[in-house]
Amino acid sequence: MLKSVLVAGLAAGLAVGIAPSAAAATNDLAALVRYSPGATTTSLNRAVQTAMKSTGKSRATVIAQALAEARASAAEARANTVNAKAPTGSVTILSSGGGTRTLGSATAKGDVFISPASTLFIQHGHTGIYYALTAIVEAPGSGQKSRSISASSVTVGTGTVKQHVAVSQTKRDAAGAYAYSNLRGKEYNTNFAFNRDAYGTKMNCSQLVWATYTIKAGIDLDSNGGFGVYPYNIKDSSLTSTYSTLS
Amino acid sequence: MTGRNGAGGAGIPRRLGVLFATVPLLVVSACSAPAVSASALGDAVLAMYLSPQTYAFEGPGEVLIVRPDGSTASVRTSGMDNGQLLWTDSGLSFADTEHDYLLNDQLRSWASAKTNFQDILVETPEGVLGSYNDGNDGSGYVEQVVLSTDGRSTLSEVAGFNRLFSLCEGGLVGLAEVTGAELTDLAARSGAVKRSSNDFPQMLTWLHPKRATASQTLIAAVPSPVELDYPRGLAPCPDGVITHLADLVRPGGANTFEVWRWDTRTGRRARTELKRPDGSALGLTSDQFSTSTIASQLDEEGRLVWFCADGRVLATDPETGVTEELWDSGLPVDQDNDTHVLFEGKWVFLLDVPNDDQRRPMTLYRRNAFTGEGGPVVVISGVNETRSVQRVLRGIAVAPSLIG
Repeated sequence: MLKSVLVAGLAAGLAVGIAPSAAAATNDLAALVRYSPGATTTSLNRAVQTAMKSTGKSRATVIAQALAEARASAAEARANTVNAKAPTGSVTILSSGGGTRTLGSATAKGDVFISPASTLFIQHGHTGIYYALTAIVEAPGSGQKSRSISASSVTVGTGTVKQHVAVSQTKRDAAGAYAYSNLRGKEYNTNFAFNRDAYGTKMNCSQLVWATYTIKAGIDLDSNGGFGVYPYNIKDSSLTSTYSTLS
Repeated sequence: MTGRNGAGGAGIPRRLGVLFATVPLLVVSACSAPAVSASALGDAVLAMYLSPQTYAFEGPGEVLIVRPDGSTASVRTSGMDNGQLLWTDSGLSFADTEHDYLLNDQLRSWASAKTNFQDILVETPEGVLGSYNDGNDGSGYVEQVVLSTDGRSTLSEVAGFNRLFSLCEGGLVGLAEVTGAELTDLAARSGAVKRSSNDFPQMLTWLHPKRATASQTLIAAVPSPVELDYPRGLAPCPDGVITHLADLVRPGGANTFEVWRWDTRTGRRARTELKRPDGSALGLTSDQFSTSTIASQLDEEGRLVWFCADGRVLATDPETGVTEELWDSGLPVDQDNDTHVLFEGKWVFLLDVPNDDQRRPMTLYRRNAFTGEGGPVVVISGVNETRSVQRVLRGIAVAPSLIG
């Protein structure tokens, strides 16, 4: 229910094409910076300029849409956090703790995982791709280069899901191999709001997963098609299906 | 059994820091536990490292000292993903991204800048040796090896993202997928080549003391057309022969579990499939096997003793692969329980960490590794409910007084 409401609300906002004022745009950009930990106003401004050129939309509209998408992403990532203090099975907004699980293995190469939010810093959650059954490629965070790592060494939040991608296993294998061969060792991209660059020199977690399937399978895992691709956009994609929840 | 084997050697290429001091300024009170005081370790029985996962790495780390009554004191650190602890007669050693620490009757720290993902922390005759992975620099993975001696630390770098470690005849050895330009070229001569994503060539290398050349660094390289995973723990290495467990991972769960022995003097590897005494398969999942923990010394019969993630303690004959159950702890490692395991001497220490209801306290048990005899040591309240991806429970250590 929450997923559909969030996606519908975001889609409506994007479709209507609200034209906020310049003052509102300034406020929205400041808010967008807060939803983009590690990113600067300058770097987001550059990304906004690029988006304006590619879409023909006004600065205020681009910023407003990016902010709406970021807010929706953060809301869903927090809503999927299972509060370990709450009764078993209930899902609430995280206050503290939140519980952890060992990520563990996948059932097929090319599977993806999405972990919920836990703090303001990782308010959009986290994601990565299995290049092997027991190892992932991920962009682990600010200041860190993308890497492969054993899935038994990765701790994720309670509520993390593992998903298949709806393409042939041959393409999933190719996606995993591509991530392993081409997307390790990349600097971290702090800009989620405008990260749909499959060949970026820097990459964040959802950008890496999205880019892998864009390049190797020709599919778009970004469920809402906004300026940014966030972890829960991948979870909500019609091309992904959950087969395991670490509850 | 103990993880406190010796190592020796020299050859430190880069000195990081010589600042050595008592550091009251670094002792910061945590949210729930008072800061470590001048009494420092005192009668503490358990230490735990809590630290953020790398993708949540904005938060600090924390080392908690647990007293016999379950009360805690803390040392805040700058953080260390997978932070490890080593408790010897000299005190409690640990590290963060900026310093190395020794806590005994006081807390001392000294500059030691390093990356933020720790693999191991072991004692050697030279000092305390830590290994940390610095990720992929584009040409391969880099392991940082830090030796701390008398209040200063030195760092050297070697290629690798090691999944298994062993202390062998005075040196630290690591097992990793082949990486690094020079080692990759050398490994190719043994046919250990990654031609596709279905190849997982492995290399066994000397991590410390750092060897002068790649050919001196590489002990052995083997091809593998099968994905590999290894249970946790420092592998025993009597007479230069490393013994450990390996999971040969295949789609559909058709895995094979093996015991491997590497002769570090010849580079030869022997593999034997695990089986029950009646010859049947062990019947474990890949996740159960890979989250198991091996002891760092073989038992008197030359068997590898290990804590299986289903809660049983098992013993494997490396020659035959025959694996028998010694006893069942009833404390599995699964989604409901995050049991932490520490083999020390004849003991195995099990820290029961309830996952299904974090309001329940943690409990430390000390049991005879071979018989299961023993019982609870301490109950720790107020910590389990604080665990999150910013406060992941990492390494644990117990006081030497519990081991003797």
